[in-house]
Formats: sequence, C-alpha cells, structure tokens
Amino acid sequence: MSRVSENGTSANIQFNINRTRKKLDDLQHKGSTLRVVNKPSDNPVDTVEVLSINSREVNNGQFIRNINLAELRLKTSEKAIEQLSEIVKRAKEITIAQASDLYGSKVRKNIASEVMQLRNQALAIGNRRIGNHYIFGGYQSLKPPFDQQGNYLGDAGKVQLEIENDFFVPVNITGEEVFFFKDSSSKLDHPLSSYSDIFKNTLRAKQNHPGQEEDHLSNVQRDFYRKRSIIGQLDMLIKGLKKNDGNIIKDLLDRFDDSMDRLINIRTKIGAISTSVQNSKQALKRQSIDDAETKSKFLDADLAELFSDITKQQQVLKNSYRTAKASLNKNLVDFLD
Amino acid sequence: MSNLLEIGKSGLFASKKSLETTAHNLANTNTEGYSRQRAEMQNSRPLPKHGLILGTGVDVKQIKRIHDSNVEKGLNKALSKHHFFNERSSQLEKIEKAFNEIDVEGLHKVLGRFYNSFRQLANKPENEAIRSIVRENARLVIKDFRALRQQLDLAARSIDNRIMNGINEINEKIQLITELNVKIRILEAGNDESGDLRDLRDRAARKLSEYFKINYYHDNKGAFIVSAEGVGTLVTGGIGQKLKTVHKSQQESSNNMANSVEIYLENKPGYKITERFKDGNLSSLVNLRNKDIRNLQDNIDNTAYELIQTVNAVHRRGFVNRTIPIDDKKMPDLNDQKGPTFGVNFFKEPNRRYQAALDMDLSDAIKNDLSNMATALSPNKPGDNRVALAISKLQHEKVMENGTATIEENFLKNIGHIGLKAQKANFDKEHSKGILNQLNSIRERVSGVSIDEEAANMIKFQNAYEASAKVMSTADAMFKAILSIAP
Repeated sequence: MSRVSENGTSANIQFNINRTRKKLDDLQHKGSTLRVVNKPSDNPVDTVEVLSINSREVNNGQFIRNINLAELRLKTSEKAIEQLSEIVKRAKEITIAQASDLYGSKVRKNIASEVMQLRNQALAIGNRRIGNHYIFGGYQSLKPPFDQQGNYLGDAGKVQLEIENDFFVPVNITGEEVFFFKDSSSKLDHPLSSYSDIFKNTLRAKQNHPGQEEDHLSNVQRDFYRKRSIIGQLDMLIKGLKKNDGNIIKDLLDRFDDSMDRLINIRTKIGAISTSVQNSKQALKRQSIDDAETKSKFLDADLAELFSDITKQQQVLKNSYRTAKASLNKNLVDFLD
Repeated sequence: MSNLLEIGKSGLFASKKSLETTAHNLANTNTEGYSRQRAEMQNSRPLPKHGLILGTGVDVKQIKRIHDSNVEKGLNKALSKHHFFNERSSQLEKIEKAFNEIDVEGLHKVLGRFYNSFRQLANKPENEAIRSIVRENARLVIKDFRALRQQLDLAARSIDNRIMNGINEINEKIQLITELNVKIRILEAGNDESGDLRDLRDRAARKLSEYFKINYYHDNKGAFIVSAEGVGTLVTGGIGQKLKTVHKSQQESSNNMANSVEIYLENKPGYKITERFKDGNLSSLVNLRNKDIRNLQDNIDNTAYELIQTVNAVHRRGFVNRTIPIDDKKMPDLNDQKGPTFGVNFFKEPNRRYQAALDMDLSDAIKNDLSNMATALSPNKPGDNRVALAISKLQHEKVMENGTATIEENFLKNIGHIGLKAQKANFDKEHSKGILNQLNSIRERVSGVSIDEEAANMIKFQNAYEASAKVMSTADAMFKAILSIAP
C-alpha cells in the first residue's frame, strides 16, 4: 500500500496548477499579439523563413524603385530619339525639295537658316537632361556631351541598373550611338566582371581586363564617322544650300535615309529593354503578394483555434483549483473528537 | 508484583516515546526534506522464572528515520539534471531576445537596408544626398554589430557573477556538511542513529546537487564522503575541500575573454576545474558561457570582419567622386590635396578577427568627406555606378562558411540555431521537471509525513498508554491488597 503525505499532495497540486497556468500564459500572449510565432524558439524553422521573406521584401522594394528610374530614363531617351527622327524627316524633305536646281540660290540660302534651326534643335536634344543628369553622355553625366561643333565629349559608358535579383539592364544610349551610329557591342559585360576574384560565386563569365572597357571612339574614328553623323549631315546640307551646290545636296538623300533607319533601330532596342523592365515589374508585384501571403501563413494565429484553446485551458485551471480545495482541506484530525 | 510494575512502566515509557515521536513528526509536517521517524519497539529479553520463560515488557530499540537512500540518490541526480536545463533555458531566453527580429528592427534588417542604400546610390551615383544616406545606414550597421557583441559580452559577465555567487553558497554547504559529519559522529558514538542531523546533511547534499552532480557514500571507516563527479572529493568526514574563483587573463581563460572567472580547488591553483563539473547549475552556466556564447561571439566577429573586408575590397577599386587631374600619359593622379583618389577603404581596416564587431568603424576618409565614397571604376566619370552596383551585389555573394553561405544566410542560420536551442532547453526543462516531480512523489511516499497517519497513530499510542497506566494501577491495587492482609 503506498502512502500519501501532505508534502506529496501539495507538490503535486502545485506542479499541475503551474503547468496549466504556463500553458494559459503562453496562449494569452499569442492572443494579444495574434501571432503564433513571437520569438525564434516558438518555431525556429518558420522564423528563418519569415526573416528571409522580410529581406526579400526590402530588396524588392528597392528593385521597384530602380525600375521606376529605369522607365523614366528609357522613356526620356525614346522621346528624344523620336523628336530627332522628326528633324531628320524634315531635313530629308528639304533635301528632296532642294535637290533639283529648280530653286535659285536665294531660296536655298533662306532654307539654310531653317536647317540651321534644325541643327541647333538636334544639338539641344543631344544635350538633353533629367534634372542635372545628361542622358546621352555615357558615364559623363554632369557635363553636356556635345559642344557647338557637334563633337562628342562624353564616353561609351553603359549605365546598368539591377531591376531584379542578378538581372541588369542598360538604361542609357550614348551620344555616340545616337548621333555617330557607332555600333554598340551587342554583348554587354556583366557589371561585376571586373571583380571576378571577389565574386567567384556569382560570376561564371570570363574576366574582363580593367581598361578594356573603354570602348571609346578615337579621334580618327570620329572623323570617319563624322560624315555619317546626323550633325555632320545637317552641316553638309547647310553648306550645300549656302554654296548653292546641288550635288552635295543630292548626295545627302541616301545618307538621311540611312539615318532614319538607324534611329528606328535604336528605338526598337529601347522598346525591347522597356518591355523586359515592365515584365520584371509585374513579376516583382506578384511576388510581393505571394510573400505577404506566405508570411501570414507562418506568423498569424488562427483566431478561432486560439480562443477555443484559451477557453479550454481556463476551464482546466478552474477545475484544478476546485479539486485542490477538496484534497487539501480536511484530514483525520478534523474528524476525531 | 515488581515484575508487573516494571512491565507496566516499560509499556508507559514506550508509548510515551512513540507519542513524542508522533508529535515530532507532526511538528515537522512542512519541513522540507524531513524524513518521518518511528519509535521501534522490541519485546525485552525474556527471563526464566519458576521453570517458565516470562516476558519482561517492551524496549524502545531505536528511533528510526524512515528513509530510502536509493530514492534519495535518484532524486539528487534528477535534481542535477533539472537544474542544468532550468538554468540553460532561462539564460537562452535572454540571449534569444537579443536576436529576435520578428517584430523589432534587428541587425538582419539593418544589413539589408545597408546593401539597398548602395543600390539606390547606383541609380544616381552623382548624388551627394544619397551618399549621406549610405553613410548613415553604414553607421546603423556598425551600431547594431557593436550592440549585439556587447550584449553577448554582458551575458558572459553576468554568468561570471552567478558563478561567483554560486561558489560562495557551495562553500557554505561544504562547510556545513563537514560540521555535521563531526556532530553526527560525536552524537552517534555509542548512541542511536541521529535522524534529524542526517536529514540536515541530506538537505545540504541536495543543495549541492542543484549545482553539480555529486556522489556520496560511507567509506569503510564510516566517514561520510562527498565527491563532485569529474572533479574530485569535496568532503571526507570532518575535512572539507572548498572551491575558489579566480579572474584570469584572456589567454588563460576558458572562454577567450579577459578577466573571466575560472574555478579552482582552494589551495590547488594549478588545477583548473571550470569545465569538469557535470549537470547542475554550474556546469550549465559554464557550458553556456564557454560554448554557446563563445560561438556566437566568434560568429558575430567573423561576420563583421567578412563584411568589412568584402566591402573594402570592392570600394578600393573605385575612384573618388571629385575631379581628378590626369597627367599627359593619360594616367590619373593617385593623390590630390584632399587625400588619395584611389584605393580608399570604406570601413576602417580591422586589426584582427577577435572583437572585429566591437572595433568596427567607418574609415576616416569616409567620415571626413563624402566625396571619398567611390562609385566609379574609372576616374572622372560621375555617371559610372559599377562600384556601387558591386557593393550592393555583395549581399548575395557567398562569403561565409567556406563559400557556401551569404552573410545574411549565415546570420539567419544563427537565429534559427538559437531558437532551436532555446526550444530544446525549454522542452528538456519541462521534461526533467516532470521526472523530478515523480521522484519527489516517491520520496514523499516513503519519508513524508501524513497527518492522517500520525493522527491515527496518536490514538493508537494514547490507548496503549492508557492501557499500561491501567496495568500499573491494577498492580498498585494488588499490592495494596497484599499489604492489607495484616493480622
């Protein structure tokens, strides 16, 4: 027969009441925060998931800001090139009209001043900026890329922005590409290629030697391209009109056609980049929603379940108190005389 | 007649002793660790008389302590285990708070913002205001690293304090046990077993069990030996071996912190016993300080170190954000009147990995002049953002754990680990509490006082007393009867 002592009884009662109260305490805390995970020890695996999602949310917020800037730059560049196309179109019309010797030198001289205007407008487009950032200067964004003679003072830098994790897009066209039709390399180096010793794990591309990125037009090349450059062509038109030389003017017809084609090409390229930027934006927005949903699944408490648990525990506690009263109260001494 | 009186007297005496013992038990109902006592009766040696073997009454053989030393030993082991997990759980709860980022802004989030501020700078590398924001975010990162490292240090120091206080109490108990050993030996020499003194000694031993796992036994000479498992003998009869705490330098400490507390046997300064204890509060605290906290400290330092090194390595490739004179050979001037134009560090270069998180700071160049913050890979190109891009991409570069984890992944792993440890310690605490409770129940069942039982015994002994008294008065009446036979 096993005995029961006072200390034994009271120890048992205390143990049970404490255990119930601890459970109730825990549930109450969850009820006030409406979260099942309040500290890492509540659910370590879910905690790590939630914190990763948080990190991704912050990154995606920044990516969306980057996308907004990219859209602005690309749109501005496209608009500028559209306006440039209009100028070249007008120049071509004038060329067609003035190619024959129908008009005399006086008319031609008058038209020349209109072409001067067009030339200045084209130059102004080349020096367009957003805020204090010149969009056609490559990396030289704080100085006007074109001087009065139409020389290009900027460089060949392609500004890349990260719009999704590891996805970089160039958001500018250099003045050289627009006005001089220098072919930009179709294969753009990954912006981290200069750091292949640090970014061993990100990069699988070949290392780019420093200094090699300067793909700048030399002076010799510039002279060569001058004849094919828009400003150059406009200058030639003005010269032809002022000199009243029909041959120079006739020569320019094909060249202006070339220019138009090339501008259309550039606009197409910008359009393609814009599309991928848009796609990224949609993908990021979708991911934001998914992330919020996943986080909620991990963190939030099921209200109905939580409150029914609390009610149940409260009942258990009340019963523990009642039974404790019964067993602690009376003993044999009360019943002896 | 005289026999009758003697027999009655022995009965009276025995019942009175039993009642006294019952009273003693009742008085000590609520005394912690008390073992109930019983007066053990034995019928006295019978004597032959007139050819008959006659009984001579009752003797109180001994006042016995109802006590099972095996149950007691089991209880002490369970106590050691429970206190180990109890201490571990409450300390880990505190440490976990420092790393809890579910609702609060923590280092993980601050790191994310640091990298993203470089992304923003890559959008507008000419912009001075954004540079200022980058610098502020860097300051926040530094502040958080320092704060975290300091909190860990604080936790280690508070453990040191607890160890020192614990050793004081341990020494008190060792002293108590030795004194009790002497008293018990003196009292029990030639006399009966002293239940109360032994209870006191068991209580002291139980308190020691809370601190570390002990073994105790009587050796062949009857001396009571207490030894701490893994450490050595602490009490041998009337001689005790106290413990001592000493502050040691960083090289000599077991947790690589200057001025940390180490435990030694008093008078044995060459024998460090800090890590030799098993179970109990003490070894839990030591374990936490020397392993868990130490690992966290090292990890935070490593993280800070890697962050500084990687950011600096990229930043040094860049040219500062001001006009740099170019000489005729088209080479940029590597110094101008404000300082170097190339190879500038973003963070101050750390001397060593240890405490890199505490020593972390911005480089003087960045503190003094925002134009020293490089974004361009080539000189005089304000729109070149390649350095800023590269720094922002460091966020996803696997530089920790031999190239298998990014800084953020590694930090999250830490948080997960701490959560797991805290969760497990909690569970172990509850589990061991349950076992302890059960063993306590068993002990109470054997040695605990039950008021019902004592009350019933009281009635029993009282009746026996009355009966013996009746015997004596009967003997007295018989005696008087004989005496009244007078001529």
